Amino acid sequence: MTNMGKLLALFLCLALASLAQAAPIEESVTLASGSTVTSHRYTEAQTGAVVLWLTGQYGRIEVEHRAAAHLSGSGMEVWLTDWLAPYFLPQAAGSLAQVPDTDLAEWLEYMRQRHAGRSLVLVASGHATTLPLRAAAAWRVRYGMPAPVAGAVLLWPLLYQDPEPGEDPEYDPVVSQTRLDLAILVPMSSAGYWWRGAMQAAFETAGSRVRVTVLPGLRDRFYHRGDANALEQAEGARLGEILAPHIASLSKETKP
Amino acid sequence: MKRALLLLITGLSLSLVGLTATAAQLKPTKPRAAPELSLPTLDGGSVNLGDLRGRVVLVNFWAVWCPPCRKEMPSMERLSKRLAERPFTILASNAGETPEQVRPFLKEVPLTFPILLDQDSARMKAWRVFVLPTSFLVDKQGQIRYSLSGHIEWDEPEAVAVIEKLLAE
Repeated sequence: MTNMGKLLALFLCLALASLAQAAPIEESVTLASGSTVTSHRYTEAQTGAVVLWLTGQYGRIEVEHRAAAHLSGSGMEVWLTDWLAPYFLPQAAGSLAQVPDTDLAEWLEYMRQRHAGRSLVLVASGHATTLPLRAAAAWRVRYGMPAPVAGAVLLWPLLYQDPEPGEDPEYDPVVSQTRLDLAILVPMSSAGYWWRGAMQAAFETAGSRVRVTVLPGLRDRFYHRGDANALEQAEGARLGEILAPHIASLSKETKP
Repeated sequence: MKRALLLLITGLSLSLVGLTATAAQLKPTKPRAAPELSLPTLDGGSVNLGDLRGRVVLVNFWAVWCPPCRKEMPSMERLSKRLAERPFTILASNAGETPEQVRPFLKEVPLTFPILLDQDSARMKAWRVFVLPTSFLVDKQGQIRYSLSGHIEWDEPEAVAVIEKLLAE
Protein backbone atom coordinates (compact mmCIF):
# COMPACT_ATOMS: atom_id res chain seq x y z
CA MET A 1 0.00 0.00 0.00
CA THR A 2 1.36 3.43 -0.91
CA ASN A 3 1.80 6.12 1.72
CA MET A 4 -1.22 7.91 0.28
CA GLY A 5 -3.23 4.70 0.52
CA LYS A 6 -2.17 4.20 4.16
CA LEU A 7 -3.18 7.74 4.98
CA LEU A 8 -6.55 7.26 3.33
CA ALA A 9 -7.14 4.02 5.24
CA LEU A 10 -6.20 5.71 8.51
CA PHE A 11 -8.52 8.61 7.77
CA LEU A 12 -11.37 6.19 6.96
CA CYS A 13 -10.78 4.25 10.20
CA LEU A 14 -10.79 7.47 12.23
CA ALA A 15 -13.93 8.70 10.48
CA LEU A 16 -15.70 5.39 11.10
CA ALA A 17 -14.61 5.34 14.73
CA SER A 18 -15.90 8.87 15.17
CA LEU A 19 -19.23 7.94 13.58
CA ALA A 20 -19.50 4.86 15.79
CA GLN A 21 -18.87 7.01 18.85
CA ALA A 22 -21.39 9.66 17.88
CA ALA A 23 -24.28 7.49 16.78
CA PRO A 24 -26.72 6.82 19.61
CA ILE A 25 -28.86 3.74 20.02
CA GLU A 26 -32.53 4.28 20.77
CA GLU A 27 -33.59 2.25 23.79
CA SER A 28 -37.05 2.00 25.31
CA VAL A 29 -38.05 0.88 28.77
CA THR A 30 -41.70 0.02 29.42
CA LEU A 31 -42.72 0.70 33.01
CA ALA A 32 -45.42 -0.90 35.15
CA SER A 33 -47.63 2.14 34.51
CA GLY A 34 -47.61 1.24 30.83
CA SER A 35 -45.52 4.27 29.91
CA THR A 36 -42.63 3.69 27.55
CA VAL A 37 -39.59 5.84 28.26
CA THR A 38 -37.25 6.18 25.30
CA SER A 39 -33.62 7.20 25.60
CA HIS A 40 -30.75 7.85 23.25
CA ARG A 41 -27.86 5.78 24.54
CA TYR A 42 -24.37 6.84 23.62
CA THR A 43 -21.60 4.20 23.72
CA GLU A 44 -21.66 0.67 24.92
CA ALA A 45 -18.86 1.01 27.43
CA GLN A 46 -18.89 -1.84 29.93
CA THR A 47 -17.09 0.12 32.59
CA GLY A 48 -16.96 3.73 33.74
CA ALA A 49 -19.70 6.06 34.86
CA VAL A 50 -23.21 5.85 33.47
CA VAL A 51 -24.69 9.29 32.90
CA LEU A 52 -28.48 9.57 33.06
CA TRP A 53 -29.36 12.91 31.49
CA LEU A 54 -33.02 13.78 32.04
CA THR A 55 -34.47 16.30 29.61
CA GLY A 56 -37.71 17.22 27.87
CA GLN A 57 -38.61 20.83 28.63
CA TYR A 58 -37.12 22.08 25.37
CA GLY A 59 -37.40 18.93 23.30
CA ARG A 60 -34.36 17.67 21.47
CA ILE A 61 -31.36 19.96 21.89
CA GLU A 62 -28.57 19.09 19.48
CA VAL A 63 -25.90 20.59 21.74
CA GLU A 64 -26.85 18.10 24.45
CA HIS A 65 -26.55 15.22 22.01
CA ARG A 66 -23.13 16.42 20.91
CA ALA A 67 -22.10 16.71 24.55
CA ALA A 68 -23.36 13.17 25.17
CA ALA A 69 -21.29 11.95 22.22
CA HIS A 70 -18.28 13.77 23.64
CA LEU A 71 -18.75 12.18 27.07
CA SER A 72 -19.09 8.76 25.49
CA GLY A 73 -15.72 9.39 23.89
CA SER A 74 -14.31 9.75 27.40
CA GLY A 75 -15.47 6.24 28.30
CA MET A 76 -18.80 7.21 29.86
CA GLU A 77 -22.10 5.71 28.87
CA VAL A 78 -24.75 8.39 28.43
CA TRP A 79 -28.51 7.95 28.39
CA LEU A 80 -30.25 11.08 27.15
CA THR A 81 -33.89 10.75 28.05
CA ASP A 82 -36.88 12.93 27.20
CA TRP A 83 -39.33 12.61 30.11
CA LEU A 84 -42.22 14.62 28.67
CA ALA A 85 -42.68 12.67 25.42
CA PRO A 86 -43.85 9.42 27.11
CA TYR A 87 -46.82 11.28 28.58
CA PHE A 88 -47.58 13.44 25.53
CA LEU A 89 -46.86 16.49 27.66
CA PRO A 90 -46.09 19.85 26.05
CA GLN A 91 -42.53 21.11 26.20
CA ALA A 92 -42.94 23.49 29.12
CA ALA A 93 -41.68 23.79 32.67
CA GLY A 94 -45.23 23.31 33.95
CA SER A 95 -45.34 19.82 32.46
CA LEU A 96 -42.52 18.48 34.60
CA ALA A 97 -44.71 18.13 37.68
CA GLN A 98 -46.94 15.72 35.78
CA VAL A 99 -44.20 13.12 35.33
CA PRO A 100 -45.04 10.44 37.92
CA ASP A 101 -42.47 9.94 40.68
CA THR A 102 -43.22 6.21 40.65
CA ASP A 103 -42.16 6.01 37.00
CA LEU A 104 -38.99 7.97 37.70
CA ALA A 105 -38.10 5.64 40.59
CA GLU A 106 -38.87 2.49 38.61
CA TRP A 107 -36.78 3.69 35.68
CA LEU A 108 -33.90 4.46 38.04
CA GLU A 109 -34.19 0.95 39.48
CA TYR A 110 -34.04 -0.48 35.95
CA MET A 111 -30.86 1.51 35.33
CA ARG A 112 -29.36 0.32 38.64
CA GLN A 113 -29.99 -3.31 37.79
CA ARG A 114 -28.76 -2.95 34.24
CA HIS A 115 -25.54 -1.25 35.30
CA ALA A 116 -24.75 -3.18 38.49
CA GLY A 117 -21.48 -2.11 40.06
CA ARG A 118 -21.16 1.06 38.01
CA SER A 119 -21.58 4.66 39.16
CA LEU A 120 -24.78 6.33 38.05
CA VAL A 121 -24.55 10.11 37.72
CA LEU A 122 -27.69 12.14 37.05
CA VAL A 123 -27.67 15.30 34.92
CA ALA A 124 -30.35 17.90 34.22
CA SER A 125 -30.77 21.63 33.66
CA GLY A 126 -33.11 24.45 34.63
CA HIS A 127 -36.58 23.47 35.80
CA ALA A 128 -35.90 19.89 34.68
CA THR A 129 -33.44 19.52 37.57
CA THR A 130 -36.49 18.49 39.58
CA LEU A 131 -36.61 15.21 37.61
CA PRO A 132 -33.38 13.52 38.74
CA LEU A 133 -33.90 14.73 42.28
CA ARG A 134 -37.43 13.33 42.36
CA ALA A 135 -36.20 10.08 40.83
CA ALA A 136 -33.60 9.67 43.58
CA ALA A 137 -35.96 10.74 46.37
CA ALA A 138 -38.77 8.47 45.18
CA TRP A 139 -36.34 5.53 44.83
CA ARG A 140 -35.12 6.13 48.40
CA VAL A 141 -38.68 6.12 49.74
CA ARG A 142 -39.62 3.04 47.76
CA TYR A 143 -36.60 0.91 48.66
CA GLY A 144 -35.76 2.39 52.05
CA MET A 145 -32.09 2.83 51.17
CA PRO A 146 -29.92 5.69 49.94
CA ALA A 147 -30.52 6.25 46.24
CA PRO A 148 -28.19 4.17 44.06
CA VAL A 149 -26.53 7.15 42.45
CA ALA A 150 -23.10 8.69 42.85
CA GLY A 151 -24.53 12.18 42.56
CA ALA A 152 -26.13 14.70 40.27
CA VAL A 153 -24.88 17.54 38.11
CA LEU A 154 -27.42 20.36 38.10
CA LEU A 155 -27.03 23.07 35.47
CA TRP A 156 -28.61 26.40 36.57
CA PRO A 157 -31.19 24.66 38.76
CA LEU A 158 -34.53 26.51 38.83
CA LEU A 159 -36.23 24.99 41.82
CA TYR A 160 -38.34 27.83 43.17
CA GLN A 161 -42.06 27.45 43.56
CA ASP A 162 -43.52 30.58 41.94
CA PRO A 163 -41.37 33.12 43.81
CA GLU A 164 -43.23 36.29 44.70
CA PRO A 165 -41.18 39.48 44.46
CA GLY A 166 -40.33 40.74 47.91
CA GLU A 167 -41.03 37.47 49.70
CA ASP A 168 -38.78 34.63 50.79
CA PRO A 169 -38.81 31.87 48.20
CA GLU A 170 -40.12 28.40 48.69
CA TYR A 171 -38.09 25.69 47.04
CA ASP A 172 -39.54 22.65 45.32
CA PRO A 173 -40.20 20.15 48.15
CA VAL A 174 -37.72 17.78 46.51
CA VAL A 175 -34.88 20.03 47.70
CA SER A 176 -35.58 19.04 51.31
CA GLN A 177 -35.97 15.38 50.29
CA THR A 178 -32.62 15.20 48.55
CA ARG A 179 -29.62 13.45 50.10
CA LEU A 180 -27.10 13.41 47.29
CA ASP A 181 -23.70 14.65 46.29
CA LEU A 182 -24.42 17.55 44.01
CA ALA A 183 -22.34 19.54 41.54
CA ILE A 184 -24.26 22.73 40.81
CA LEU A 185 -23.16 24.83 37.82
CA VAL A 186 -24.37 28.43 37.99
CA PRO A 187 -23.95 30.91 35.14
CA MET A 188 -22.61 34.19 36.49
CA SER A 189 -25.01 36.32 34.43
CA SER A 190 -28.14 35.09 36.12
CA ALA A 191 -30.29 35.97 39.08
CA GLY A 192 -29.53 32.48 40.40
CA TYR A 193 -25.86 33.46 40.72
CA TRP A 194 -26.74 35.87 43.53
CA TRP A 195 -28.87 33.27 45.31
CA ARG A 196 -26.51 30.29 44.89
CA GLY A 197 -25.53 30.40 48.56
CA ALA A 198 -29.17 30.16 49.66
CA MET A 199 -29.78 27.21 47.37
CA GLN A 200 -26.63 25.46 48.56
CA ALA A 201 -27.69 26.00 52.16
CA ALA A 202 -31.16 24.59 51.47
CA PHE A 203 -29.66 21.42 49.97
CA GLU A 204 -27.05 21.07 52.70
CA THR A 205 -29.60 21.52 55.47
CA ALA A 206 -31.46 18.56 54.01
CA GLY A 207 -28.32 16.40 54.01
CA SER A 208 -26.80 16.82 50.56
CA ARG A 209 -23.16 17.59 49.90
CA VAL A 210 -22.90 20.46 47.44
CA ARG A 211 -20.17 21.92 45.31
CA VAL A 212 -21.08 25.07 43.38
CA THR A 213 -19.16 26.10 40.27
CA VAL A 214 -19.70 29.51 38.71
CA LEU A 215 -19.62 29.76 34.91
CA PRO A 216 -18.25 33.26 34.17
CA GLY A 217 -19.78 35.30 31.36
CA LEU A 218 -22.64 32.88 30.71
CA ARG A 219 -26.39 33.11 31.16
CA ASP A 220 -28.93 30.42 32.00
CA ARG A 221 -29.61 28.17 28.98
CA PHE A 222 -26.36 29.42 27.45
CA TYR A 223 -26.22 26.53 24.99
CA HIS A 224 -29.85 26.85 24.01
CA ARG A 225 -30.62 30.52 23.45
CA GLY A 226 -31.73 32.30 20.31
CA ASP A 227 -29.61 35.29 21.34
CA ALA A 228 -26.51 33.36 22.40
CA ASN A 229 -23.39 35.51 22.18
CA ALA A 230 -20.04 34.33 20.88
CA LEU A 231 -18.84 33.15 24.28
CA GLU A 232 -22.07 31.25 24.94
CA GLN A 233 -21.85 29.57 21.55
CA ALA A 234 -18.23 28.63 22.17
CA GLU A 235 -18.96 27.26 25.65
CA GLY A 236 -22.02 25.44 24.33
CA ALA A 237 -19.80 23.74 21.78
CA ARG A 238 -17.68 22.42 24.65
CA LEU A 239 -20.56 21.45 26.95
CA GLY A 240 -19.28 17.89 27.16
CA GLU A 241 -15.87 19.15 28.30
CA ILE A 242 -17.53 21.37 30.90
CA LEU A 243 -19.56 18.49 32.34
CA ALA A 244 -16.92 15.76 32.19
CA PRO A 245 -14.85 16.71 35.25
CA HIS A 246 -17.93 17.15 37.43
CA ILE A 247 -19.31 13.76 36.41
CA ALA A 248 -15.91 12.12 36.87
CA SER A 249 -15.49 13.72 40.26
CA LEU A 250 -18.91 12.59 41.51
CA SER A 251 -18.44 9.06 40.22
CA LYS A 252 -15.11 8.77 42.03
CA GLU A 253 -16.22 10.32 45.30
CA THR A 254 -19.11 8.03 46.10
CA LYS A 255 -19.62 4.36 45.53
CA PRO A 256 -23.26 3.48 45.00
CA MET B 1 -46.66 9.72 13.11
CA LYS B 2 -49.97 9.81 14.98
CA ARG B 3 -48.05 10.27 18.25
CA ALA B 4 -45.93 13.10 16.83
CA LEU B 5 -49.06 14.86 15.56
CA LEU B 6 -50.74 14.49 18.94
CA LEU B 7 -47.68 15.91 20.68
CA LEU B 8 -47.56 18.84 18.27
CA ILE B 9 -51.25 19.68 18.71
CA THR B 10 -51.07 19.36 22.51
CA GLY B 11 -47.91 21.44 22.61
CA LEU B 12 -49.31 24.19 20.41
CA SER B 13 -52.60 24.51 22.25
CA LEU B 14 -50.96 24.53 25.67
CA SER B 15 -48.34 27.02 24.48
CA LEU B 16 -51.16 29.40 23.52
CA VAL B 17 -52.80 28.89 26.91
CA GLY B 18 -49.42 29.43 28.53
CA LEU B 19 -48.82 32.67 26.67
CA THR B 20 -51.99 34.27 27.93
CA ALA B 21 -51.73 32.77 31.40
CA THR B 22 -48.17 33.91 32.04
CA ALA B 23 -48.35 37.44 30.62
CA ALA B 24 -46.63 39.64 33.18
CA GLN B 25 -48.77 42.14 35.02
CA LEU B 26 -48.55 44.40 38.03
CA LYS B 27 -49.83 42.60 41.10
CA PRO B 28 -51.16 44.45 44.11
CA THR B 29 -49.29 43.46 47.27
CA LYS B 30 -50.12 43.78 50.93
CA PRO B 31 -48.67 47.23 51.71
CA ARG B 32 -45.35 46.96 53.49
CA ALA B 33 -42.42 49.28 54.08
CA ALA B 34 -39.95 49.28 51.21
CA PRO B 35 -36.49 48.02 52.22
CA GLU B 36 -33.69 50.53 52.32
CA LEU B 37 -32.28 51.51 48.92
CA SER B 38 -29.33 53.85 49.00
CA LEU B 39 -26.83 53.39 46.20
CA PRO B 40 -24.34 55.23 44.00
CA THR B 41 -25.53 56.12 40.55
CA LEU B 42 -23.83 55.59 37.23
CA ASP B 43 -23.29 59.32 36.76
CA GLY B 44 -21.32 59.58 40.00
CA GLY B 45 -24.09 60.74 42.33
CA SER B 46 -26.13 58.77 44.82
CA VAL B 47 -29.80 58.13 45.49
CA ASN B 48 -31.63 57.27 48.67
CA LEU B 49 -35.18 56.01 48.33
CA GLY B 50 -35.91 57.37 51.81
CA ASP B 51 -35.42 60.92 50.46
CA LEU B 52 -38.22 60.41 47.94
CA ARG B 53 -41.16 60.39 50.36
CA GLY B 54 -44.09 62.18 48.80
CA ARG B 55 -43.30 60.71 45.39
CA VAL B 56 -44.46 57.51 43.74
CA VAL B 57 -41.36 55.49 42.86
CA LEU B 58 -40.93 52.71 40.34
CA VAL B 59 -38.02 50.60 41.59
CA ASN B 60 -36.76 48.33 38.83
CA PHE B 61 -34.09 45.64 39.23
CA TRP B 62 -32.34 44.82 35.97
CA ALA B 63 -29.13 43.79 34.24
CA VAL B 64 -27.68 44.38 30.79
CA TRP B 65 -27.31 40.63 30.19
CA CYS B 66 -31.07 40.20 30.62
CA PRO B 67 -32.96 40.67 27.30
CA PRO B 68 -36.43 41.33 28.83
CA CYS B 69 -34.85 43.96 31.10
CA ARG B 70 -33.44 45.75 28.08
CA LYS B 71 -36.72 45.38 26.25
CA GLU B 72 -38.79 47.29 28.80
CA MET B 73 -36.31 50.15 29.30
CA PRO B 74 -37.51 52.32 26.37
CA SER B 75 -41.07 52.17 27.72
CA MET B 76 -39.78 53.22 31.14
CA GLU B 77 -38.06 56.18 29.52
CA ARG B 78 -41.29 57.18 27.76
CA LEU B 79 -43.20 56.84 31.05
CA SER B 80 -40.61 58.96 32.82
CA LYS B 81 -41.01 61.73 30.23
CA ARG B 82 -44.78 61.46 30.24
CA LEU B 83 -44.93 61.95 34.03
CA ALA B 84 -42.02 64.41 34.22
CA GLU B 85 -44.14 67.12 35.84
CA ARG B 86 -45.68 64.78 38.41
CA PRO B 87 -44.27 63.47 41.73
CA PHE B 88 -43.01 60.29 40.09
CA THR B 89 -39.49 58.82 39.95
CA ILE B 90 -37.96 55.78 38.33
CA LEU B 91 -34.94 54.11 39.95
CA ALA B 92 -33.32 51.39 37.85
CA SER B 93 -31.07 49.31 40.09
CA ASN B 94 -28.52 47.36 38.11
CA ALA B 95 -27.72 43.97 39.57
CA GLY B 96 -24.06 43.20 39.87
CA GLU B 97 -22.55 44.84 36.82
CA THR B 98 -19.78 47.39 36.51
CA PRO B 99 -20.16 50.87 34.98
CA GLU B 100 -18.10 49.61 32.03
CA GLN B 101 -20.67 46.88 31.41
CA VAL B 102 -23.65 49.22 31.74
CA ARG B 103 -22.49 52.24 29.71
CA PRO B 104 -22.48 50.63 26.23
CA PHE B 105 -26.16 49.77 26.68
CA LEU B 106 -26.98 53.38 27.54
CA LYS B 107 -25.36 54.48 24.30
CA GLU B 108 -27.85 52.25 22.48
CA VAL B 109 -30.80 53.18 24.67
CA PRO B 110 -30.32 56.61 26.26
CA LEU B 111 -32.08 56.85 29.62
CA THR B 112 -32.62 59.96 31.69
CA PHE B 113 -33.70 58.35 34.97
CA PRO B 114 -31.06 57.31 37.53
CA ILE B 115 -29.20 54.03 37.06
CA LEU B 116 -28.18 52.71 40.48
CA LEU B 117 -25.17 50.46 40.84
CA ASP B 118 -25.82 47.52 43.16
CA GLN B 119 -22.49 45.92 42.42
CA ASP B 120 -22.65 43.18 45.03
CA SER B 121 -26.43 42.79 44.53
CA ALA B 122 -26.94 43.26 48.26
CA ARG B 123 -29.97 45.47 47.61
CA MET B 124 -31.41 43.00 45.12
CA LYS B 125 -31.19 40.36 47.83
CA ALA B 126 -32.63 42.64 50.51
CA TRP B 127 -35.61 43.30 48.23
CA ARG B 128 -35.99 39.54 47.66
CA VAL B 129 -35.61 39.66 43.89
CA PHE B 130 -35.22 36.20 42.37
CA VAL B 131 -35.77 36.87 38.69
CA LEU B 132 -34.87 39.79 36.45
CA PRO B 133 -36.46 42.09 35.67
CA THR B 134 -38.47 42.62 38.84
CA SER B 135 -40.21 45.90 39.63
CA PHE B 136 -41.95 47.43 42.60
CA LEU B 137 -44.25 50.44 42.84
CA VAL B 138 -43.65 52.33 46.07
CA ASP B 139 -46.30 54.83 47.17
CA LYS B 140 -45.80 58.31 48.58
CA GLN B 141 -45.55 56.91 52.13
CA GLY B 142 -42.72 54.52 51.20
CA GLN B 143 -44.94 51.44 51.10
CA ILE B 144 -44.61 48.77 48.42
CA ARG B 145 -48.03 48.54 46.78
CA TYR B 146 -47.46 46.62 43.56
CA SER B 147 -44.85 44.20 42.25
CA LEU B 148 -44.04 42.57 38.98
CA SER B 149 -41.77 39.71 37.87
CA GLY B 150 -41.03 40.04 34.19
CA HIS B 151 -41.27 42.85 31.70
CA ILE B 152 -44.15 45.00 30.50
CA GLU B 153 -44.63 48.09 28.40
CA TRP B 154 -44.70 50.67 31.16
CA ASP B 155 -46.43 53.38 29.16
CA GLU B 156 -49.40 51.23 28.22
CA PRO B 157 -52.77 52.25 29.70
CA GLU B 158 -53.00 49.45 32.32
CA ALA B 159 -49.67 50.32 33.92
CA VAL B 160 -50.22 54.07 33.68
CA ALA B 161 -53.65 53.70 35.34
CA VAL B 162 -52.09 51.93 38.32
CA ILE B 163 -49.45 54.65 38.69
CA GLU B 164 -52.07 57.40 38.30
CA LYS B 165 -54.07 55.76 41.07
CA LEU B 166 -51.07 55.92 43.41
CA LEU B 167 -50.32 59.49 42.35
CA ALA B 168 -53.90 60.49 43.21
CA GLU B 169 -53.69 59.20 46.80
